[in-house]
Amino acid sequence: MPRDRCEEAVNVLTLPVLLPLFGGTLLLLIKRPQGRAGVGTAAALLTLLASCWIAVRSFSGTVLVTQLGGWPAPYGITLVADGLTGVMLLLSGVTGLMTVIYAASSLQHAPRRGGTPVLSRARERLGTPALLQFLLMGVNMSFLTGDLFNLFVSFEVMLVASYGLLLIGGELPQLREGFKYVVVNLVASAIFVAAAGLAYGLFGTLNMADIAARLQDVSGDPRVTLIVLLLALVFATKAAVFPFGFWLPYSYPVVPGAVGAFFGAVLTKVGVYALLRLFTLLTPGETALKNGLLILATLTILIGALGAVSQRRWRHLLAFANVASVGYLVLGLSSGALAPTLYYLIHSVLVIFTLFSLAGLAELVAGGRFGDGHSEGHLGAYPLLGAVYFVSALALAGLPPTSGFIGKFALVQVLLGSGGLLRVFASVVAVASGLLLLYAAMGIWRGFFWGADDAVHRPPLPKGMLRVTGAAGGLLVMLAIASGPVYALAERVAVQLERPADYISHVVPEGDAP
Amino acid sequence: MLVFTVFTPFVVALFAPLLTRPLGARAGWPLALAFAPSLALVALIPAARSGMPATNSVAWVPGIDLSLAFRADGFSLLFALLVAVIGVLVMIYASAYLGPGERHGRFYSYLLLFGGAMLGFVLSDNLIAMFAFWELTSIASFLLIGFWDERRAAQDGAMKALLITAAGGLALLAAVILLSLAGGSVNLSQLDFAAVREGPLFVPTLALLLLAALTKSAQVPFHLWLPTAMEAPTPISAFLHSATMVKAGIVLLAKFAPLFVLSAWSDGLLYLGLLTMFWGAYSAFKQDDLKALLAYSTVSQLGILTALYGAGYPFAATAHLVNHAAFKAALFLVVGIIDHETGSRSVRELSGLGRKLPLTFAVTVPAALSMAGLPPFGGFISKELFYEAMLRAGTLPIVIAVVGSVMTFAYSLKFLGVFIGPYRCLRPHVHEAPVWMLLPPALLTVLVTLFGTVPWDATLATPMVALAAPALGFDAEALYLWHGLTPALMWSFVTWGVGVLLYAMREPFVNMQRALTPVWNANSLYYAAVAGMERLARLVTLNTQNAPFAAQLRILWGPVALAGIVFGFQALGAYLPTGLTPPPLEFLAAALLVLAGCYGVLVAKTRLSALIFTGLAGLSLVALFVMLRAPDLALTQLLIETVTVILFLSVFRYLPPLTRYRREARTVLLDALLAGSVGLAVFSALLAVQTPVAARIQDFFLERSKTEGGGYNVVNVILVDFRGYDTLGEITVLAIVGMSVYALLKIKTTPVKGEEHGDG
Repeated sequence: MPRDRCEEAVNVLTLPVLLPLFGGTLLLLIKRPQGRAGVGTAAALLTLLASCWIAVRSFSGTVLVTQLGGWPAPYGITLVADGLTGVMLLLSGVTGLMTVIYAASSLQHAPRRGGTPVLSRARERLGTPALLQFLLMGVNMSFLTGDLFNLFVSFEVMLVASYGLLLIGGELPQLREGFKYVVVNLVASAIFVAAAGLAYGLFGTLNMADIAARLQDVSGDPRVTLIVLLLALVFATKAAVFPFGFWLPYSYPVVPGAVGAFFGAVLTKVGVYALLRLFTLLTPGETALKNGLLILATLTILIGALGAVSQRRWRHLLAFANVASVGYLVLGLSSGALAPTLYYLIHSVLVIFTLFSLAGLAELVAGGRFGDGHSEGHLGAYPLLGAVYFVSALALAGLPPTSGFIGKFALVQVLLGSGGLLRVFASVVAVASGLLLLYAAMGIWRGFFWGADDAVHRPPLPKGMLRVTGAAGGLLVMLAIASGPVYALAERVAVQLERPADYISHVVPEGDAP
Repeated sequence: MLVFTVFTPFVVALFAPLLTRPLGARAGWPLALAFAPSLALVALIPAARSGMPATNSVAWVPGIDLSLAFRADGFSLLFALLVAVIGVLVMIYASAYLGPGERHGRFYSYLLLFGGAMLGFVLSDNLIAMFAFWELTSIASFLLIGFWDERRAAQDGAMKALLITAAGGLALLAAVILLSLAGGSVNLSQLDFAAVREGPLFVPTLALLLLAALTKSAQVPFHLWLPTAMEAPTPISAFLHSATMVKAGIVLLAKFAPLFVLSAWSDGLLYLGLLTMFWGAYSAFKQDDLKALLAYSTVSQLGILTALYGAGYPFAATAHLVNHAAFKAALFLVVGIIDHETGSRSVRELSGLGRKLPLTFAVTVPAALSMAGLPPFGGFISKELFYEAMLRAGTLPIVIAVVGSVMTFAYSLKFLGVFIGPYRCLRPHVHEAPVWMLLPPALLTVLVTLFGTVPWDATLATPMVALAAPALGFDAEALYLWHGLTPALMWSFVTWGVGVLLYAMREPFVNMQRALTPVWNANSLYYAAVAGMERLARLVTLNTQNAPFAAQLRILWGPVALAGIVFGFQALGAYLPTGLTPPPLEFLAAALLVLAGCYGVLVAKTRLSALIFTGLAGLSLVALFVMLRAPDLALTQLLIETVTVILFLSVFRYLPPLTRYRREARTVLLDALLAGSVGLAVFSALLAVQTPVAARIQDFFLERSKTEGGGYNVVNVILVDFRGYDTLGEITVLAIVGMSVYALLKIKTTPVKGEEHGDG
């Protein structure tokens, strides 16, 4: 068994967690903002490199495993990286690096303190960069862990960092929405830890692969259903699936603009990731539950799209659009369309990130707190931003020739191909919501880019923010062009997910015996 | 070759702004070269005619069968050439039409984007790619209609066109998937039409396909977007909204004609087309704005095409398609000239322009008479074919066709009316347009004239229409100007006679039309629908997102309670651990105290008493831990309870009194029930998992703690060694909380004005 050689090599699996941890800790000790910017960027860059290494290795079809502390699974904690982890790490790495640069650059024109939409110097001084690194750490930890309780811990790291990012600043809307965000997540965490405890009680292990292995002999046990249901509830809440997603649409817009993109693009997708794991590794069966989730996902799309139509402010609209995009993902995973889901996941991270970074810039341009659309006619002054917005808006609505179209098309193709009234209804909603999202997104286009240009004063836009936004838009375009290979990758990863035996045998090769 | 043809305009579009910066509007000349490869498609005609069309394909996303597969059959080729020719003419025209202050880069980029999309659409064999290009034409059209975006009307027209055509596009998306599932292929040329017709989903498939075609081609009642699309610059209207894009739906009908063989469908299309033809012509006659007149006229002519293709007369339809594209584009360009030179497009403000603009007049006459259906112009030929087809279709069709054509004849005269009669114009100095604005419509007019005068010519009309024959499956006939005294010609005489009469009586007739205008129409329906959608969106959002926070939390706990009760008890029945003994009495006492504390919190009137009851529950829990001989847990819990009370007391005075949040007895009961159910759920689940499915791994820890972990306290060894990674995470959590709290206390908040107080 070449496993020994493997284990040696894959200590790299700890790096996407440890690098942001060290980076964040170091940031707390540095006095000068420029120094913080440099260290933060370096940490994020190194994290991305480590993630790339893991991703490339995992895409070749192997499952990378490291048993922490040398304790064999299931006794210690196992880090596992399969194709799905690779994809997620790559996404968090890229968006993480872009967020760090964006945030650092946004300080360039930030006032000393208070009411700025993007990021104030005071907030930066009091730890926003470090919190961002910790957030990245928690996110990567969630993707890499092969242990149910450790997943809970990862969520805690991620959430606590997000509480900090959400609340620092102490503005009234922040506190009001932040309070709800914290309470909801505490409730979800309480349910999670209870479910993890029950899982240990029932399966006698916390290692996810081991649970999966032990599950193979069990069928039709209501206790399993209960635990899966509780976990699904927790993950659905984190992913903001209707009706458990009420916390998202009003809390994301109050996150400082500099880091809002990361929240929208990646944090909710951690819940989606967890659901994907749950439904592929732990419970390949559970048809009733999946159908229930399918209905909720359909409603999530509808609620998200209608919500986007009901909003006039950029980030509120985007927050709802984000809910809709989660709906598409959950619809995909609950209907077994894994390859379209994975493709759409990549697309969704990029498109939401691009749109939120644009929103940050628009707030600087419009000068208002959220970019209320009272400032119009900016296409002439910012043609490239307009182009990036237009392409991302089409992608959001799922119109060709963007990646959104390809993802949605693939999804609807599978849904209609498998038939059934529920799925047909879901496809109708999925397709029709595209029109709602288009209407909403074009509302912003009309309100901000079109119109009479009567701006007397245009603030200079920080170069870093512009570059990050441009890069994100570029990645989105690249994704559409390179859809062939990316979709092929998604198919490979989907096949791997559909055959959990491989994953299980890599983590617990000899079965249960120590 | 085909891929190159389609993608050249896209690529050039990206670089158009680089050329317009130094060249201004004149950049239209070099940029028109983007259509050179599509003009070169002429070389593929022999292959298409022989029935072996050229194909070319590039894989894009093999996973979903999406490839950019192009196939130049005769019909596609004919339409692609039409796009290319008019595209080039419009670019040349625009180079003179656009003023120096316009945004040339944007204009040409959008225009080329459209050109590429349109070429892609007609040449696509892969249905998914065809859909993609179809939507892309809608998107380009949106940008072009909104070109003068500082005008609200332009924005609105763009949005309307986009919403309606994109909605149709989504129907096409669904139709494409259903077609490929039933027809066994995503390539049009390999699609098994018979299988689709016999498939179980044939009716929805066809309905979706028709919805797409009818919205795009502006058939009643979806025609409403076309007149408002006239906010676009006139060359755009000529190119997109008369000659090419609006015919995309017609092209779809033509290509999928084998699906409509059932008489119900073809009859439906026939009458819908005729209705559109009538309504368009009727509305066109009413207009004073020349451009609006042409817009409604386009609606009307698209009706003719729908009726002809739908009812199975592809030969007549194709002849008319070519004719209409030529004369309508020419007329639009003429309107552009009139607007450009006189500053007005209104019939009321203009008259006798022929004297000042003789060349324009000369260009207009053949085109307008062709629209009217007079010999010897192309329009006459195709209108005769139309009449013949309608005569075969029945009495009602021919009657509607003639009534519609009478109006068509009359509004064509109305259009010509601005050139004749006494000279009237608001602008003092009116002179001919630059030559590059005159030449494009002139060329189209020549085409229309040749089409009518020498239709049998072996190089022009007959072979042009015949090119589409193999693809659409009709037998090409030779076209002739003189058919003999056929019934169709008789009807033509009637048309002209009544048409002249109608034109003479235009004042009273238009007044009658105005008087009859209904208070609602498709437009008001559209605005009502959009407003309704917005209202619905607000309503749904308010009702799903803005519930009080407590109610939202109940949604979260509800499933836990429900799941626990349903599955927990079910599991308890089957997996109740054996050997359960009743708990000792002191346990019960402590448990009762916990319950009492919980109940107290629920009914507490003041915050202080609630706090005390929380403490009671917590400390009773500590007692339970002690009884269970878990001193470390007891200590931890005690610490937490103490710290919580201290923290709470320190912020106590800042909190509003509890009486502000009065709760009804019903809510209290609901909450108690919910909390109790969750408790019961967890309890039953805990009991149920006491019989694990496999041995728990705890023995390993007990065995190795001392020997390998080096500690007697197994819990400690688990925390720092076996699962040290968890602890690393938890320490990080603590550190983050610490720094966040520090930051929160340290930062100076600025009060935000206008923000309402929290809803607690």
